[in-house]
Amino acid sequence: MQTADSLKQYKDELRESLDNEFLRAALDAFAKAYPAGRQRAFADYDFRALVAEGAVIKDAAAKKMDELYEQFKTEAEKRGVVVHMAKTADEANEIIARIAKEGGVKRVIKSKSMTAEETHLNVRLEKDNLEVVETDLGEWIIQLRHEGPSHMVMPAIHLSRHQVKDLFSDVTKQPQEADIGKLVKVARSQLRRKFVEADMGITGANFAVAESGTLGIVTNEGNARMVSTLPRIHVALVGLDKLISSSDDAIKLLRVLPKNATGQAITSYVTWISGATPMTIPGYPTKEIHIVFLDNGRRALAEDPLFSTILRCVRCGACANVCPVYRLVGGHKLGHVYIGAIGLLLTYFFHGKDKAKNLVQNCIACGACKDICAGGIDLPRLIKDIHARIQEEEGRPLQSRLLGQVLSNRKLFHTLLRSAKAAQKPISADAGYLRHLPLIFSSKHNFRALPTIAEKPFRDRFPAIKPSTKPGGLKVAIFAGCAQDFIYPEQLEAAVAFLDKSGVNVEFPVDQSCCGLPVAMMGEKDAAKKVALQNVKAFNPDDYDYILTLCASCASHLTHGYKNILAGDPALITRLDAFTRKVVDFSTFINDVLETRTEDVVQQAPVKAAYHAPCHLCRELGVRQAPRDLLAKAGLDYVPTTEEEVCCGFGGSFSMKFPELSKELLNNKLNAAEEAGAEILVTDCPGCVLQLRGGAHKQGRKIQVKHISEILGKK
Amino acid sequence: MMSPMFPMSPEERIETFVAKAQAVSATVTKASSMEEAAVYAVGLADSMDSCLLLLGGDEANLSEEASLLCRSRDSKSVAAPSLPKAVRESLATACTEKNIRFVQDHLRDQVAGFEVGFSIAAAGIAETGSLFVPSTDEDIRLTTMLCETHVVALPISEIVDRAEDLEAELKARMAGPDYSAFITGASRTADIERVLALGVHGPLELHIVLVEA
Repeated sequence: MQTADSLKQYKDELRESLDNEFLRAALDAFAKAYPAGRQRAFADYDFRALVAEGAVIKDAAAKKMDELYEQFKTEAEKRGVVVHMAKTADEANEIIARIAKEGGVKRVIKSKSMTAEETHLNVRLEKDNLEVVETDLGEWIIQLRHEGPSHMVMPAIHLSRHQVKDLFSDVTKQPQEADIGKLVKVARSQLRRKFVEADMGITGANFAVAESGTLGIVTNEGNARMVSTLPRIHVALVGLDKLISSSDDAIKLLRVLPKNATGQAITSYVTWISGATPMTIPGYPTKEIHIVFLDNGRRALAEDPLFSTILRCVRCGACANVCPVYRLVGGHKLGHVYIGAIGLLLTYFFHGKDKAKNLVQNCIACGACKDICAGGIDLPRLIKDIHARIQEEEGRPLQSRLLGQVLSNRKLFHTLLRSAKAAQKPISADAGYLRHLPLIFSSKHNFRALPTIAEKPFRDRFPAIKPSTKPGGLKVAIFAGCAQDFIYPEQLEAAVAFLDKSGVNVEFPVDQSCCGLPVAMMGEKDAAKKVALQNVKAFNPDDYDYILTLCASCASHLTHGYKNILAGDPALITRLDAFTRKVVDFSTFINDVLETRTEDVVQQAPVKAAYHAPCHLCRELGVRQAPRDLLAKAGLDYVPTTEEEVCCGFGGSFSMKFPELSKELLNNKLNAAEEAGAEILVTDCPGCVLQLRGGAHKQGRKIQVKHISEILGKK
Repeated sequence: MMSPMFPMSPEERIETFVAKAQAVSATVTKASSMEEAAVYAVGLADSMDSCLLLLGGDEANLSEEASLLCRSRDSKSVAAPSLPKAVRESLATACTEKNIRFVQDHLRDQVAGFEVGFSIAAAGIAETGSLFVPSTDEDIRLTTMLCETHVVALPISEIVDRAEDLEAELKARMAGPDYSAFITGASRTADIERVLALGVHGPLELHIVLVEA
């Protein structure tokens, strides 16, 4: 459970996780194993279609949340259940404490419920001197350790068998072995007695089916069936977001949830409880069942035009499973109660701004979570929006405001870059790297060499290299982006030469500026919008067939980002639509539009080449094959590497804010390329080049890092 | 279409059901009648070690409580409440022959566990190798949970392609009060170091007997 007050304290806590060798190894192993298992589970299915179907179901349910609640209540009451509504977490806890009191309850057993974690229910019940025992193995372990969960599906993933052995030795008062099979049996025999003794069982629910007042509970251990069967009172604590119309809907969602969570086709048990059934305890002919629905901000979310999609979450935990940051720091550092990308969002809505303000900054925006989300939620975008909202509420930090002001004014920004070039002169090293870090960086940033600003930016070089007009040729306008305009102009020059020889007309509209992604990442919404407008105005889409960029991040931001940022401006709709449709990335243009063939390309020495897929290219734009085809066409020996599509750790301002995390991600990437025997590492984005090349240089690694334009020469 | 698996031919349906069930470590066998399936369950109990919580871990002397649970039982048991008359009689006869106790009700008194629980599934779902087991009867529910090995008889004719094909029956049951389950494989966990372990709170093994008739 993350509770740091300041960003500095939060960063110190992150450091502790980075130094936890067991945690790192466990999460690494999981991150590598999870995608393969999941892929097998979905082998016979169209994942996107399942997600789309689920999103329709959940969106429709969120829209009529109140109506579904009333229907559920009516139907459940017909079947002998008492239904309660709690506006807040405290209210839910009070209702359950009251049920316990009125029912003369002394002992409570629970099966896993994130909603009960959300309300801190155990703390409340223990105040009334009730014995509360978790029966899910992972939950029991963390309960005994007085911790919160570090994963929504595997709450004790941060612990080793040795730690569990010590814990269970204490509990049973006799030495146990660090044998997982035996440790599981300890839980079986210890908890069996608790099931018998308890007078109240508390569960959550995965589905609340309104048409029949039915609860659907998805478990593997079987404990939810025992919890809802053995004690005479059953209480289910259920978020209003679990309401759906029908059992048909539940079955459809069930097709995605376990596959995405753990790679299982289905869990061992899916339990359907429709009302109070007969019981065999003398004096208690039927079960006493209470269902407590929890609002705690969910109704407000359902009304929110931007954030209502959060309610599509089915708590599969996949967003944590693929998060490169989660993999480094674990769930206690990447969540308050709820973990992972969805956890950052839910923390804000369920536990408040103070708990969320540090967490929301720890998203590298690589899009891996969005890609895998069972609800198709645009998690990185919503996290940025929450970050911006918190900054508005708290007052934006000086650094962020300054960058916003500078980037909003192209001339000022470019003047500053040019004067920075002059200022760096005394410290420029021969290899194109700064010899010493500028003072604004701390020593933690010293994991990679930073490049110098080019002698002459691309915008000043272009007039001299502008190709002659070719009647009938395609017309392409280059969007340079800051990194290539001012740091790596040679990448753009190489591209222009290729285009020229391919018979393409090339233009460079000079009013273009930074795409605005850095300020959007920092939550500077106004600046992001100003810059976007400036760029849309700088390019008249009618004048070009394509707007070409060699930067994956710019390409993604100019399209998806701008559609969000400039949405709602009716005067702009047509222009924006034409603009975004014309944006194309370099690899797609060369490979798919120009249909460049092997015989058109200057052949490189056939050395082994690895490819790093930029997040914004492979996931946001869905470009996967074109760059790999081009590597082969250039004569390189393309070798696949592990986790080719995992973020390199740059993430723009992320690497400035969290250099220690950035460094770890970078190292993983370089290690993977070297382990594959690659001599060259090719990528499609100048930001990734800056990170990977600077890291390789700093660490004295032999591997060469190239932008794909630098390995492509047109014959 | 969300999946190219559907619709299945009758042969594919059975093959898929068996393959999916085996993929989650269920044992699948065939019997020509429900009575034969019941006898299979008794045979299984007979072949198991006599100490009931053996697989539960008391052989390793895990705790005092586990040892007490073990000592509290003196013979092997098969639990099978609410069976059709003919099946019940076959099972009772087999139990008598093997000197095994036949438990038909008051399963709450058996929480320390018993060797085998025998129940009859209303349907099988080929897509996931799941059993649809109505268990509104609390004794049936406890039978499926408290045993070391759960034996489920499933008429082959009741296997459907996917859960959607059970919607009419599901809705009819949900008119309630009702308690039903999809059961797929044995109780499992991967909560310690993500290492799969079978048998946490529920059965350690699941045996499915496909009944031909």
